Amino acid sequence: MIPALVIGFGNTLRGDDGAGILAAEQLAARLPDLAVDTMQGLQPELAERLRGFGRVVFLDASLRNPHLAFSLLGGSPRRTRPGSHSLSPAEIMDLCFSLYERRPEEAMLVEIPAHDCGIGTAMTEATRSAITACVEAVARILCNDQAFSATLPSNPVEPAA
Amino acid sequence: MSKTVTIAPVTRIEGHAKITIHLDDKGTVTDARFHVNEFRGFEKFCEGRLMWEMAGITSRICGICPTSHLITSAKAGDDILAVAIPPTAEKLRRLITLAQWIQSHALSFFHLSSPDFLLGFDSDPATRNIFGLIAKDKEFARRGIRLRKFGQEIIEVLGSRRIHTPWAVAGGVREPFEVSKRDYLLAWIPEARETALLALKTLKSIHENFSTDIPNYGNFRSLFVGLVAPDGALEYYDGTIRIMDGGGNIIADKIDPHSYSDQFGEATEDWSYLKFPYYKPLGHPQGMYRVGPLARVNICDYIDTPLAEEERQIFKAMAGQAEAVNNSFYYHYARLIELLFAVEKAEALLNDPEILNPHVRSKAMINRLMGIGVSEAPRGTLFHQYWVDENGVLQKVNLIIATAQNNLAMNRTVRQLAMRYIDGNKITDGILNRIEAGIRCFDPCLSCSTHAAGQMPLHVQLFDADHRLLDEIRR
Repeated sequence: MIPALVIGFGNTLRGDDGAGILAAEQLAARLPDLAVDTMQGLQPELAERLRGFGRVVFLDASLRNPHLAFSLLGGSPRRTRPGSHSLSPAEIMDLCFSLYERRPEEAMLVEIPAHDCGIGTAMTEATRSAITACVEAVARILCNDQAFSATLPSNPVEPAA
Repeated sequence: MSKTVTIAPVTRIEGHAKITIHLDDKGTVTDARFHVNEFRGFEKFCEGRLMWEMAGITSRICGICPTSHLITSAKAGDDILAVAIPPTAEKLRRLITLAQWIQSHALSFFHLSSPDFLLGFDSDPATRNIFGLIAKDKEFARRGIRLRKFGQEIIEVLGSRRIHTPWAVAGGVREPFEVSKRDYLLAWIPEARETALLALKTLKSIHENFSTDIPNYGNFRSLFVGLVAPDGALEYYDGTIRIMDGGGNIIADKIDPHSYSDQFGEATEDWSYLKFPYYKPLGHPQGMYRVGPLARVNICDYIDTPLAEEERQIFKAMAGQAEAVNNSFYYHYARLIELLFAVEKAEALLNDPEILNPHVRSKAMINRLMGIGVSEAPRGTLFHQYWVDENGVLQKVNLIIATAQNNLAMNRTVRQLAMRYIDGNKITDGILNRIEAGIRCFDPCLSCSTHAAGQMPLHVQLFDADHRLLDEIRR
């Protein structure tokens, strides 16, 4: 397996918002050699860690997508305008490139459908099912040493804006 | 026709807020307000939880300063248990508090404020951010990220995770320290000290460039409030409350933090969810006070690390006859002095052999039905007060957040800047950025009372007295 970093982020005290973290933890249990980080938000210093990996997968909860959604991150570095303490996956990738002139050759964002991000640790059944599907799909992709673009599932694949 | 200018959201701060500027018929500023328009209600939903859980729960208040809530909550727990924690536990808690200062202050300076300083208030807003900073000075930006990472590394090494570690508990901390971890952190110190000094040198070099702007940045007399050590030294974890007026006179000292509610009241306004704390003896709003770096460096008698003390003396010399630095722009300077102090002090703690003592927790049952914890968060004095039943179940919670204590001063700063720069006919992006920068001096962490959801573009709207949209600008 090509060395990869999986980053699950979200807030486990906000219901389904913790889906990315739970999915990352399940992947860590399933693939012991996989590098897995979990965090509430993407912080600037993550850029330094990213530069050491060829592949990175971001796992996040999303109220926007009703289905598990896979997006490739990359292409030309974007000129985003980060204004706060937390950055998007695309911004972290850009920050990595801007600071170190390199970044993971392949990056993917997996958005796990969230339904209820209210206060509390409970997750909806629908999101739990999506987490299971996410873990299956990402494990399959990572165990396949082909390019992300060649192995992505066929369901909604929109390049991340 | 009178108008209202709205800046929403305010950018490069933590959380959601907007600024409204009210103009009269002639386009002259009559008022300006800093609104915090999100509500979270942590105090309420903590009721019914066990006191033991509070350190872990309240650290979720914020993704930026969780460690400050963790430590302050654990201290409130100590108070309920009525225990003295082991000396090593206090040193470890002090170390993680310093780490919180390092990562937060580094972020504030390098990421949020440096773009204004190094690129200019009037520079292109599309590049007036961390990427613009990288384009101008990549090594400077890298160093900033590394310094913040050092703070995060301390937190992660001690607490096993960078954010929301449950490491501190009522009675002490969960895990003792290890030699290998200590040595790993000590290896960071030379680079961290060098970067902190570079930040100070950079900031001082730009003061002259902004000599026409600085006098308008929240330049007014107010009270300053913070903790000091028993001998008057800069304090960050414990101590007693000192209150200084804008003339540098200590008007109250050695106040037991347990009596904070006798000293400070909280006013409310119907246009903001952020409360307006004030010093009770002077009433509202005359009892306006400032907390955080500017206050702490003003009120302390000295700093017990050599490089930071040297800078403090230079800082205090700026006060002149007032003997207190009253200009909010110098929050940045004070913040970097504290950053340097935090690196120096962390080194001293790491070199203290006692920090490796395995006895790090005192255990007890519920011995008091009310407890108060206090510490100095990066942005100012933080209070947690809990009322519990005999089983430790929370009956009531009161949190006094540092940012809220600066609310009156932030509003005054916005008003001062608006009156200086806006004449109704000339509202440029640079002027609006200056007004936002006035808020950034305080480095408000609105996540402590709101839930941050990333960055948004600046949106300015002009309304007439009937709330009809006359004009708008988007970044």
